[in-house]
Amino acid sequence: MAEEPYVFTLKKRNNDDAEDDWDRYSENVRPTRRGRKIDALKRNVEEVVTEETARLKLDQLLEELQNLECSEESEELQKILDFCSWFEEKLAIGFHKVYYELLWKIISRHGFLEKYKEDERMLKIWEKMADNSAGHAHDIYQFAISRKSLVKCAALYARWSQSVELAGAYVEARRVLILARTNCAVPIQIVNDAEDALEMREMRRHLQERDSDDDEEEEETRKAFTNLPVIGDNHTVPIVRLPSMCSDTTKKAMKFDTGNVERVNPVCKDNQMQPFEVLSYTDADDVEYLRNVHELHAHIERYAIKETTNPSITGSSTSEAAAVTIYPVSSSEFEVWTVEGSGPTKAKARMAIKRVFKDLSFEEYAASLLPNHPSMVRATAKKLDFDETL
Amino acid sequence: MFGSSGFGNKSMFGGSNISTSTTTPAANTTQNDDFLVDGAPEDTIQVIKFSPTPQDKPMLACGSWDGTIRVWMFNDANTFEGKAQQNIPAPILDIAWIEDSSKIFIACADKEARLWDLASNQVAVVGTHDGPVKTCHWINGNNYQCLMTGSFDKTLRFWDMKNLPNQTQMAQIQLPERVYAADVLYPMAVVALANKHIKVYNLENGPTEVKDIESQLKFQIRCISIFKDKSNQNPAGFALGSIEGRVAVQYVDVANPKDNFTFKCHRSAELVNGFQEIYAVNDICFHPQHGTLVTIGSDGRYSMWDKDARTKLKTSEPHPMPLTCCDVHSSGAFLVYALGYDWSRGHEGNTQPGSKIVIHKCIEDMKPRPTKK
Repeated sequence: MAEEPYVFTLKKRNNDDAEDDWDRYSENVRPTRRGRKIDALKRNVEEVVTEETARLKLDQLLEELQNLECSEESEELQKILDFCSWFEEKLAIGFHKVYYELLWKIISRHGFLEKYKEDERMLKIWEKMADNSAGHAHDIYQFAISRKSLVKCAALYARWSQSVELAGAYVEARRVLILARTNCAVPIQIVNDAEDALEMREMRRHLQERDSDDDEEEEETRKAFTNLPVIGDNHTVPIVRLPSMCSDTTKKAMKFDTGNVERVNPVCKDNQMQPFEVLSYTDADDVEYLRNVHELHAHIERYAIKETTNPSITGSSTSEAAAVTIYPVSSSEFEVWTVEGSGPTKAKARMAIKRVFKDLSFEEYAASLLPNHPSMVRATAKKLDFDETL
Repeated sequence: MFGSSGFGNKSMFGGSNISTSTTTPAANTTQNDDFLVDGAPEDTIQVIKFSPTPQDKPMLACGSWDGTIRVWMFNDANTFEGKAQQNIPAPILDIAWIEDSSKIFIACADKEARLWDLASNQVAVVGTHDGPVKTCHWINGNNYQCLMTGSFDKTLRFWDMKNLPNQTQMAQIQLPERVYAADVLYPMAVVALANKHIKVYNLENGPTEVKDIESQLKFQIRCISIFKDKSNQNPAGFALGSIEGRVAVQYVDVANPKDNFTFKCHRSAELVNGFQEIYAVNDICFHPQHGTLVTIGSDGRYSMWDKDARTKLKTSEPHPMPLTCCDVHSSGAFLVYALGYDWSRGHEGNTQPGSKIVIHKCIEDMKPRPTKK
């Protein structure tokens, strides 16, 4: 037999990267919003913190808070946030479920949400819960509003809309911002900026989709500005804020779906607060659902959002004013998520196949070569005669 | 079974004597239990299938692009021994075993579907299309038996085997686009089309379309495989592989849309000229007992995934050639996959002629990992 052109072996190769293939793809790793501190990744053996340690530390903290005097109530939330920072430093990766359970334990304390419903520091708590809820951020923020926590905080709605947009529900992201207006969230500039940024990103996505379909010829027809097509299954159209519409205060806000109306009722109508409470939260099943929502693996692909500069939003939720995409920076020792001043330098990807195979399968290509396919040098198969066999 | 074939000690492959497959040395066995199957075809293997009947001695059949079909049998020496070969004057695009493992259906690129009777070693044409036959599946239903063939001529045809040698077509379904992949797990059949739509058929009392699902994947569908529900009783959905290094898991009757998802796979670890290369997912197979899946790609790796936990179980080291097809034995003990050039880089990319067949013990590798709490 002819000598093999290469030496084939099944000997195992040294490929250290294979063990971390899953983590290499950014969609499979959910980083914290502000990146991870480098010290947290350089752990020493003696400093290893376990899940039990975190649970015990929280229990001690909650017990300590129970004994606080009334004058020290403002320190309670700060101590909780300090615990969150400690948790994120010590248990950076792979403890999303534990983190969610601990956060739920915090907010489910009696009177906690009512006590801090106007405190903007609660935004951090909701963000952390949303980020660790296995893709159920929409439900978390909805729950927060239903419990009247940060109802009038515009930054919450901006963050909520952004998380929904990341999940690909662009129409729902618009509804969230509409809800912010209906609830008279302040400052209104945050809502306006988030809305503008959302539409800008939507246009950019459409342009990119159009660029990827170079072979298709799309017949573009002009339509009257007032006859914009609906988007999705609902009869809603893209938000177009004309100057005359912005200044017109007599028109009613756009209506929501029935489901949203039932779950999240606005507390403000005609730019005035209602004289009495119109929302009563009695659906206990929601609480039980959200308690264990982190067990439901809702894998949502995330991709970087190139936000425009919006210090109002970032200033409300983070101490840093950086308004750039967070992306991984690999080095020879470890992988660190950090915020860089320059634009993202994530490597581009390309398919390792010929362009013709995007529309034509490999087998079709081979079949098109017949009868001159280089493999076809064999004789025709013999036909079977069943009569002879019988 | 092969007594009447008259082969005896006659040479079967390439003029050389029949020999058993090569087992890796003991030093490598502890690290890697894979072993090669001797006598692989000289051209790219398009399809490889274990015999369906659970046997003490499973059989293995493969079809290649040079029209060669070969059958091996697992012998007493724990190796696969070559048993039979046929040469078809066209590339083999798919094969399907009959339920008792006595015959093999062959889908050929010359627009014909053939039946190979292993006992008599004769081949008959049992169906024809207006284009290359891409898929063939044997349907062993409660009320009827037939062969389902899908083709690039945009039709799905069902053939009756009772009136051979006459070709009897039981049904024909006109499809909007070419058939790129198909799978059958009675009573469900799924057909993936070139327009990235998946037709779902109920095969009870004849094929009936029950759903037309648009693929979650943006690029061309390359393979499809049906999986069972958690009770391992009934088909529940399918997994799709595309040329873009992505797999979609789709439930047919989904209670929660979040149950459907996609994940990336088969992408280069290093940058090549500043780009991360994305490879095609050439085949997908589900483990019959564990419900986990294995994907193989043009990057020369196979990966094992737990779709319920949405985690990766294992990834192999890169092989020197793309992996073209795979199959898991009905016992769940063996994974077989073939190496060869898959034409992804065109005719000029075929720099390493030939193919290899590797058997991998997978019952432990594809076992879902217990959840830690």
